[in-house]
Amino acid sequence: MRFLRTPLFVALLISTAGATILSVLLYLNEDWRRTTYAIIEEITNEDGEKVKRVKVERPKPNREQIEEIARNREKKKREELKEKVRELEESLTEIEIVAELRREEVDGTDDWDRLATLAFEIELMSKTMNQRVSEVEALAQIPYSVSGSLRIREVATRNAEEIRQLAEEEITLEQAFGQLGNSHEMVALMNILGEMIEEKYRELRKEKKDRGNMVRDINKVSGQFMELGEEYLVALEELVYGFVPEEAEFALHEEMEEPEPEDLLSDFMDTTEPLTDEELEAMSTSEMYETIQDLATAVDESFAENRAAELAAAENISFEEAQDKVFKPETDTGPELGEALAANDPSDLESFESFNEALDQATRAAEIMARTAANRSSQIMGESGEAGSETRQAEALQEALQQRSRIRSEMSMLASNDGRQQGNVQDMRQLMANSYSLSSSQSGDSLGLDGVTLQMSSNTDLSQGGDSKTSSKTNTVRLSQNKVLRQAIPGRRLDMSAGRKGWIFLDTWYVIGPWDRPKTNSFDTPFPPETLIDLDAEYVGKVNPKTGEPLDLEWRFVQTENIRINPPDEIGDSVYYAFTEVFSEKAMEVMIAVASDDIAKLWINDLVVWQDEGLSSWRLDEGFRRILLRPGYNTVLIRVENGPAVCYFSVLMCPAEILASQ
Amino acid sequence: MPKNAYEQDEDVALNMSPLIDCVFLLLIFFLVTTMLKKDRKEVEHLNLPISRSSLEVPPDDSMLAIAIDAEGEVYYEGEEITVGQLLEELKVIEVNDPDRRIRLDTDENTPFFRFVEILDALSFRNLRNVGVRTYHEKFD
Repeated sequence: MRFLRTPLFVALLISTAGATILSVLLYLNEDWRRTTYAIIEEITNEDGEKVKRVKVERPKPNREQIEEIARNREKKKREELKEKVRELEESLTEIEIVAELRREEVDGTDDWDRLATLAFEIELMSKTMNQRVSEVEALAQIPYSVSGSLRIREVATRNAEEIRQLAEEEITLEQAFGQLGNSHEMVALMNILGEMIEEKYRELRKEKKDRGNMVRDINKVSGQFMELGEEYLVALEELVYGFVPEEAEFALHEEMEEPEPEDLLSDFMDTTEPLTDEELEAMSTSEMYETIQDLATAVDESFAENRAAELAAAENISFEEAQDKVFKPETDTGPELGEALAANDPSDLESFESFNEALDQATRAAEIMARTAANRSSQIMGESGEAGSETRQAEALQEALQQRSRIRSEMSMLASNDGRQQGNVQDMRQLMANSYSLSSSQSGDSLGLDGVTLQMSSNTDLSQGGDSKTSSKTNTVRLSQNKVLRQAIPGRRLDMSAGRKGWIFLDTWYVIGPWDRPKTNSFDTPFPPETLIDLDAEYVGKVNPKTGEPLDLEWRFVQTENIRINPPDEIGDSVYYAFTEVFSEKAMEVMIAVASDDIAKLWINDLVVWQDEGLSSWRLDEGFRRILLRPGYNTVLIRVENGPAVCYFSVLMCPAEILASQ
Repeated sequence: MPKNAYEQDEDVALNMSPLIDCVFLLLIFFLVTTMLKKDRKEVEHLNLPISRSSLEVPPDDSMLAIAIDAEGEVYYEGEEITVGQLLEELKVIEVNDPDRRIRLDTDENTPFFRFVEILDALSFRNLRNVGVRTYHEKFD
């Protein structure tokens, strides 16, 4: 009992009682239980809203301490900024190298190179013409039409080969005149074929027997073919007669001054010099931030230059003209923080906080800029392989670029659906595989394409096999529209483990538009999404006929259960773009069906896969393309143009193996 | 001489140890009962929807917080972000940590299309460990 009288026991008793009472009180009263032992203050935040916040009282650091903390923080953030400068510089160098090469290609092509491009286009078109003439019964029946078109194809192929050789070597006057003779023969044949088709078309039109307007479309293509032939002949004549030298043996083709063979690209390229470590160290933080902003702007300029050079090469226009046409993207260069960052002499807590805030903003903005630049660079590099690697030589890159543009023109020939039968199938797997391997060959990434065996069917327009000249029938696929409409499932992921297999329709898109539709050759006018996909961007579009004000455009999320997708804000005579991505578990051969009301052009991984120019109504089986998807994410961009009435589009995909097993 | 009865009182002193014990006891009591509020990268002006059937999952610092407010603006770890930038971030997460827990905070009045858009982006990037946060008395 002595223990009960000890002070320790009494204290224990008191504190237990106190704690019990407190517990009971807290249990009974929720308000007390939830008390925050700090001052709640009401402040107005940046957006002007009143917010309640807990005010935490800290002992105020003195001036020296503040300066010390500020210096340390700045040091840490400077390292981050430096890293971003390096990243940006790397991206910029990569983009600049490609831009420079592309420009050289555009500016440096002499007349013979341009002629070689024309001859190559004629070769491609002659293949298409031969294919279509043999496909369409009405035309195949005309005497000599098939053999004539085959003959043109042969001459055109030989011609293109010869011109290519001539463009690369010195040529003599004799050769040049020989070439002129060959070309005259070819163009004459082209004209005869063109007239035959035209005559047949008139005849059929009179009798109203032109089923599905096939002959009309072919007649249109043939008209373009003849124009191309004339253009080629004029160019060739100009060259041959204009260059006839005084001495007959004088080389017609002036040898271009070859640049000195260089090992490393960056040694002779006119790229921005990277800053040395000392220079970077000597910079103040605000200067560093400004450098980052400048670099981001330079990346934009270089990127636009790249796109312009690409456009110039594709459309045979001058670089300056292309520059006017192409959209120039602008990266958000973040807030102006020059003054705030320069004032690193915080004397009190307030100025320290504002300095801190500025530092944080700067690093955030720098990170976004560096990432955007890296994206731009990978977009450019994805098309031309890893230029950044030190061992990569200029020639190899140039070669890759040329090959790439060759693949592009072959693909756009295959992509075009004008004058083709309904339900026709074009095989693009080989071209796409070539294009993918171009972009990955240098990075050592095999893309997993090795496992894909490409069984090329010989009866497509441009198959790589040698015996395709005799092809007379095209693959066509008949699709039961009702069945597919019933059974197709929405999705964007092609997983092999998926339960249901069959056609899937892409159901999720980011859509932007409308822009004003150009009156003629509308595909020649690119709108910003063709240059760059930036889902945060805002553009000015078509003038709204109701209000008379131009519409502000931004990407809108569209997800639908319906196979046919109707762009929001539908207006007549306008252009829309829709963007999405498709995931493929492995490199996969896929059959793709694009249907649109009215005009559509589709890119997969920046390669044109589908192009349909007629003002047609929506049909599921307008045509099919056999394509190859990369493992991982594949970008899909579609340009839809609306004529007078409603506008719809749909993109369906089905793995080729599933289609074959059905 | 009689013994001074108060002799012992001369070295009377306050014994501090019981007091200290007492204070410690109280301190332990408060330590145990107080809940520290964690930094959950919250967007403060969100008015979380109320649900009666939601699971009681305590907040977790390693969770990635994506929030959408009533105007449809998107926040990533408490910072405002554009949709394009968010999609870029998700790409990075898919590569680095595909099983990361993700918490979606929405306002009662968040536009539903935006919610679907973000959910779809997460699912397309194969980020499946996603939870939607509702108001809970215990944690909010």
